[in-house]
Amino acid sequence: MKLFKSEFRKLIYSRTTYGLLLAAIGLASLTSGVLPYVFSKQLNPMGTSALTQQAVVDTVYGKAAGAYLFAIILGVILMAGEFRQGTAVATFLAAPKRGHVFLAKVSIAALAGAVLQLIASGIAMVVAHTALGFYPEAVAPSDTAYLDTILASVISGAVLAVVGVAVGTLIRNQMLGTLVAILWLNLIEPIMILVFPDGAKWWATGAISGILNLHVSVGRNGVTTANYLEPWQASLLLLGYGAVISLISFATTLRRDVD
Amino acid sequence: MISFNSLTKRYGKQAAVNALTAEIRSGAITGFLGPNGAGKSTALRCLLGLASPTAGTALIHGAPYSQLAEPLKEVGAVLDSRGFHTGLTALQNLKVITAAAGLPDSRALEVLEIVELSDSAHKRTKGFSLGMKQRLALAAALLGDPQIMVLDEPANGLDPIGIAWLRSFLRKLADEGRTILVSSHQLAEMEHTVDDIIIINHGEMVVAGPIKEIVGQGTLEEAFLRLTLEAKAVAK
Repeated sequence: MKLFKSEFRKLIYSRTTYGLLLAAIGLASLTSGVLPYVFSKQLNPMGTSALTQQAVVDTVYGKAAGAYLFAIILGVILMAGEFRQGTAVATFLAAPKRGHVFLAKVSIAALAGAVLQLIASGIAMVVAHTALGFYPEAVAPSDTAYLDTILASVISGAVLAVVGVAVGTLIRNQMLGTLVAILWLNLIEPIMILVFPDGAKWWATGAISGILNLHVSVGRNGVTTANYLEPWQASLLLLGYGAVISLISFATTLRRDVD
Repeated sequence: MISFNSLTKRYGKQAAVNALTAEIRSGAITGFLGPNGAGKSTALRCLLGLASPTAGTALIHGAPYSQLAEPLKEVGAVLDSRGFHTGLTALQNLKVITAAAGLPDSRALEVLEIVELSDSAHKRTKGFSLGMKQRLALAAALLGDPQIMVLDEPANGLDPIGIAWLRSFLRKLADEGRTILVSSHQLAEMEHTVDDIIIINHGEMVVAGPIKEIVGQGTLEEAFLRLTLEAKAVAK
């Protein structure tokens, strides 16, 4: 419990935490607020607004869970920040059993990532609801849209924050670790999904889409979420990714010297 | 009791510390001396569990640092002045440590008073001078009220007033019965501070013992130069 308290203090004392929360709220709200306008300009085969399709409206709400990037950055900073600031020495002097430190850090990161995503998606869903209100043709979301979005937010926030800690352990340079996380989620995965659309469901972003339980097709590139994993399967996959990368970085952390 | 037993630390083919064997006397200030790159910091990091020895051991009370039940209550360490989150206040930085060590938060205020930093308790460490950072590092080392202090180059970057303060501070700690191991490459300064010395060069021990016996009639710097040259000649 001592280490949990210490890690929690690091989190709440740092202004970076609140900056990331604000950024997550901003991104999720902006996306959810603008999407109704974008979809209102798209016509479905029947010549009516895309917002008349429930799956499209669900997608608007689903985008409220889209700020998971900030959860992984939070995780990277929680760990790599220790090496950047030089506080890793104080941390490991107070608690020389590094496995205990790592466990406390991933636990607090998971909690923080989940809360960050929960707040960001909650606010963004209110923004989405308000924005959709400007379009009378917009249909109501499906019964599970809110719950799916909240689940996807919490699970993706928790798991990606843990992955962030693992990345920050493997790549101790905070800037590089953050850059790798951003590039992975925003460049490498999207490219791989475009190149290999059949394997999209196995990537982290594909798993998050799976949790959202959306069934939409995206344009001419053939990407469709219809064959994505069921929410529970996607959740397990994402948790599996978090566990595997954590174990790898855990083993690495135990061996490496602290500068 | 601190003991180095054939401690060796290699980075690739380079031996930063080579078969170092020494014991630190309890209740005294021991200077761990040597030029830059001699292996002092590496040896101390092995002692504190931050680096893994390639061979040999570095023990505190007969056990590796990682095996100490309550390490901060037994050993206080100052390794460099960069060990604080610059976005946190001095008090917040210390409260992170008190939480990890299971110490009462009131202790953070107490140690800030000991190192004369109470007025800066609520200031972010980003604006701290090097001297203030060193004092804060000493405050962190004192949190657990340990009997052993391990200090790596604590005088680095301090102005003359800061050095004088540090000297009297270390003496005060030693007078309280604490064992202090302090590394430095500033020989003239250490001459006025320590009771015993261990001199290492190129990772190997040159000499160890009471400073009065080793220095004799000259200065510590003269003794250091003489002994390291002799060691070099023997090695050839």
